[in-house]
Amino acid sequence: MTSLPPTVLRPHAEHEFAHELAALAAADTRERPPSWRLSPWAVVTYVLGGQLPDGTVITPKYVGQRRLVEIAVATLATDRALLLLGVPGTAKTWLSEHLTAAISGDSTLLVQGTAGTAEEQLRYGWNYARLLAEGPSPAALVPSPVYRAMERGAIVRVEELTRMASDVQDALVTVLSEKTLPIPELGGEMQAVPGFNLIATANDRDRGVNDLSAALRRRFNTVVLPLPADAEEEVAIVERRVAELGAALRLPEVPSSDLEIRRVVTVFRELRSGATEDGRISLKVPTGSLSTAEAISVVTNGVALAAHFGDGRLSAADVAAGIVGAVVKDPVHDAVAWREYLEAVVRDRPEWREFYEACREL
Amino acid sequence: MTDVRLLGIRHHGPGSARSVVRALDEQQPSVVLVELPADCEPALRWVGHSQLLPPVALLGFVADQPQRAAFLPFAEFSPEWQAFQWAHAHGVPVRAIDLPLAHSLVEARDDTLQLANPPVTDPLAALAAAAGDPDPERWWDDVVEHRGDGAPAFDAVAEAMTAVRGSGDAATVREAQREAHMRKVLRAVLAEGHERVAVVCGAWHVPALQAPLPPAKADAAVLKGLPKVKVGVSWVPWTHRRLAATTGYGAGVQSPGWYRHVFLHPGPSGVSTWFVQAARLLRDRGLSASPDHLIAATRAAGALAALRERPRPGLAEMLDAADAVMAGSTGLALIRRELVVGDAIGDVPDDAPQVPLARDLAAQQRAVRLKPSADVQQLELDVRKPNARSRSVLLHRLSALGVPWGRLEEGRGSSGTFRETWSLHWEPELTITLIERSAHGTTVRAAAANRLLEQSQQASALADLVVVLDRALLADLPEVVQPVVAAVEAHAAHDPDVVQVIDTLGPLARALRYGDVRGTDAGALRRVFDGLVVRVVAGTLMACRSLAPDAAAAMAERLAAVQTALALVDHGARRAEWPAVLTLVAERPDVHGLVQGRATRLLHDGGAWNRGRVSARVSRALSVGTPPATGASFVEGFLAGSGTVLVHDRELLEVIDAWVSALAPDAFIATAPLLRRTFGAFEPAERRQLGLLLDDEVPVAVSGFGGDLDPARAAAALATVRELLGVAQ
Ligand SMILES: Nc1ncnc2c1ncn2[C@@H]1O[C@H](COP(=O)(O)OP(=O)(O)OP(=O)(O)O)[C@@H](O)[C@H]1O
Ligand SMILES: [Mg+2]
Repeated sequence: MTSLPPTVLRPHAEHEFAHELAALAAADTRERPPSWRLSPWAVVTYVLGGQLPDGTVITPKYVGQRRLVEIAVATLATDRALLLLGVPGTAKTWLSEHLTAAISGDSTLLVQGTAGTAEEQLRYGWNYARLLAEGPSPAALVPSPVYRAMERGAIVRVEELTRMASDVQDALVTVLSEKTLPIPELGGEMQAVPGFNLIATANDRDRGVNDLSAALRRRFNTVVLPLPADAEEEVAIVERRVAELGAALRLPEVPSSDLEIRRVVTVFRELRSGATEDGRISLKVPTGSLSTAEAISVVTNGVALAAHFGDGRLSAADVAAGIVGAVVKDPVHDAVAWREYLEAVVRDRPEWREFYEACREL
Repeated sequence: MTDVRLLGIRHHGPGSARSVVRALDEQQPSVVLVELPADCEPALRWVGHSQLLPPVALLGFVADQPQRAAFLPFAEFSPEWQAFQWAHAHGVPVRAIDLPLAHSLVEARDDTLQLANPPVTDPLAALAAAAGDPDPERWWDDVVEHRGDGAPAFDAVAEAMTAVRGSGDAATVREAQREAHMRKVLRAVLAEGHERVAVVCGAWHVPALQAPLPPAKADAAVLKGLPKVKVGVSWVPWTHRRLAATTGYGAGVQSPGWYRHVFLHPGPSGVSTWFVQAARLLRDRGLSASPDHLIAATRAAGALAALRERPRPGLAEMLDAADAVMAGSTGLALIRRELVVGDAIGDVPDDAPQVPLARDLAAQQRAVRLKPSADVQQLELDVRKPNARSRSVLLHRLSALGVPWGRLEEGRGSSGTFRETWSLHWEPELTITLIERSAHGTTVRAAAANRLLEQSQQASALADLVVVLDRALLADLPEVVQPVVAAVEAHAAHDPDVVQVIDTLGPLARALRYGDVRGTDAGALRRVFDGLVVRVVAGTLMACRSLAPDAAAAMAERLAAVQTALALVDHGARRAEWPAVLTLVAERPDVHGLVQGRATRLLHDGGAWNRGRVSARVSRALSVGTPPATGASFVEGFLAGSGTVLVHDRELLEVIDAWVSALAPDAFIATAPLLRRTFGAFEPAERRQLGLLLDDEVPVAVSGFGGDLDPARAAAALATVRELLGVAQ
């Protein structure tokens, strides 16, 4: 954990924040559950940020309600599995990575759920060359991330759980309730070391795709991650991510326009919540999720437009098309919602004139 | 040596309640003093009555002005209630020591009721802050309520409050008077020779009652010559929900159900007991809750309490744990409603004194000269006359209050009618209903308003809100109209269905148009109406597309309703935006013929399209390019059940006549039923005239429609018409 991270585009959390984790571990005198590198209290502090008695500043990773992070950590401490639910872009993956880094010091035990995920990726597979040569033996067994986490008493992450086929998902039932993995081929089983646990993420909007079976759902405590509570918080998240993404994509430098970002965030928030920020006008809520992540992508696209085709300045016209595209997902309902919003709200904001015109022209 | 114990409590604190019982058991006082207005003492003789069941409230009111009143609610877990119970069980007298209501109700206040024991938050906040907890309620819960360990807790409370209050001076004049009175009674009790005295009072007052007491003379001076009014006191049934309400007459106890649980189940097993109750509740309502869930929730609550460094799980941990274990289930709202707040309702003895609401009703009945009677009576009212209007308002308010003394037989539906026919019948049960409703307020007006407000908060559909609004207008309750109108606006915005919004326009327009007649303020109404019109204008076209025949018929009527509503208030949209929408509807190919036809007709009636344009549109609908069935629907929608327009417009008649004549035999047979329905709906006189017109005969005269004209009655009407038109007899 203390070794220097290699130069990569995106280092793992436990490398990027190694100094914070070390400082927390040093300052942490509270009781730690078996195999945990930090106490629950220190994990919460790592995620939400704070300052240690020795002056070390812990940066906030997740911006949002404290109680949600507390519920998540308390859940993991009771060795019940944790399911993070939420609309796309609400930092489910982000939070699960940081929780894992803080608790186990290793966020790489990961299964990415897709329609094609096979049971072996949750249990174990075989090295067929060896299997044919030597017959079933521990050496021929290829452990899955879940298997390795059980072995080490670590946390394993399962991303997009509901995208996996239902029967594949159900392979987790025994693992979570018995904390063992039967290996009939070797006539044995793998018994989890204390500290083993699992964090799954699932997208709210995917509900009904491969909904969790009642048996599996019962093994999870669920934390629903909401969209950011206030505009300042959301603007800050968007600004930071846009800057980072812009750098990664090597977009020409475009002066970041606080005005436009604020406008995108305001439009999204108002439509999402069904009311203007001043609470004076009620609005129809469009069907799209209008998440922070979408706001990030609208602004990033706007920056690309401004850089390559515009005057190098992020203008209302650069974000207008992106906003309308994000809002109008359903041609009937959303179109009405958007028209009402445009005419009842946007038109009456003098400082949004340019934006109003740009939207009308689309 | 006399033994005076000051039991400083938090009003409605379950831990305080248990500690009080324990301290009383230990001390065995010969008298119990309670912070309660002294003139409530006589009402305590009902304590122990088998029918006096908490939650209940003492209601003190100024005898000749019942709207000036104070409620003192008690729940099972209220320390004062437990003190009463203990004293009753041990045959010990209770003395009420607070300043009498006769003094405290003197101040001319507005009609709003005062809570006698507003939760004392400031001293707690100071204490909690000193202990490093930003949340005073939680701090008190952790430090005092969850311990419930009798005397030592009270010593700690006394010490802490003394530190907070410093010199112990009262903060306000009123508080100085109250504490002077408390000391006065305490001295008197001691002078009577009591040796073991327990005083149950808010923690805040403890320092003021500590020995040595200041000289009696000083207190007597404070209390001297205070103004006084005549006060009545009675018991009324209360509910947990009302305890939980932060506005109105609630006590601001956010979680009475939980407090009750903490009171009945102290100790760590309370956590699992609570989850077991929650599981039972969920299963009763057909939701799943397995033992596994219970274990998980109990453990999560424990882990959260440890993480938050609380001695044991509080309500926040319980709810967070429940949330995590059953996220997404509708169960959580149920738990909040039934377990955290709870639907406990108290009861009071039948022979307890009368409530102010009943007094107020009697006064109102005298004022409008209407006597309750066990017989059924008919009552005709013309609400333009003042006394009839007062009667109507009173009857409407009682209906709104759910005390159906009168039933409206005619004139129902809108505030647009002047005439009302009521059927009055006073049944004995109504007296009981009235007492039950007394928790809503002490006057008919206030109680009706509060009940309607409650209904509007619970309303889930726009239609329900419109009903409430209509009632508020009829009952002349402008204080309700405003918030309900706001609720209508909010609901309308979230209702994806513009159809619902359209349905509210009619009642709102009537309210606006006729509101003045009944003297209602229409400003807010107008704003909302305007907002809804914007929505209707934006959404109508979408709502008109691709409709099935039934839905199309309903939509055609709705278009007409919008036009009527706009006309009723002479709305600006009537001249510009609305005709523009109708034009789109009339022209769009994916709109049902019936709806197109009606839109065309409305454009015609509203004068937005001239004759030429109307007949061009009609003939296009009836041209060869349009399937005959669509044409027939168009005609049905256009004529809207009446042939008048054809009688007056030869050109249109000819277009339709030409179309019918030109229909191919198959097409004619196919459209005949529709045509029959359309033309069959006309008045016989209309049909006769149309027949004459088509035969190229000039009709005799365009007389009335009815088949059997009564010349005598018509003559009466004609006289008025002549007068209006200024034509001679
Ligand atoms: N409340 C928040 N605090 C900090 N960062 C946030 C927050 N909300 C969103 N983000 C940022 O949004 C980005 C998207 O988050 P992430 O990929 O974790 O979303 P997700 O919920 O997993 O979405 P999906 O359902 O699409 O997988 C992250 O880079 C994260 O930094
Ligand atoms: Mg994700």
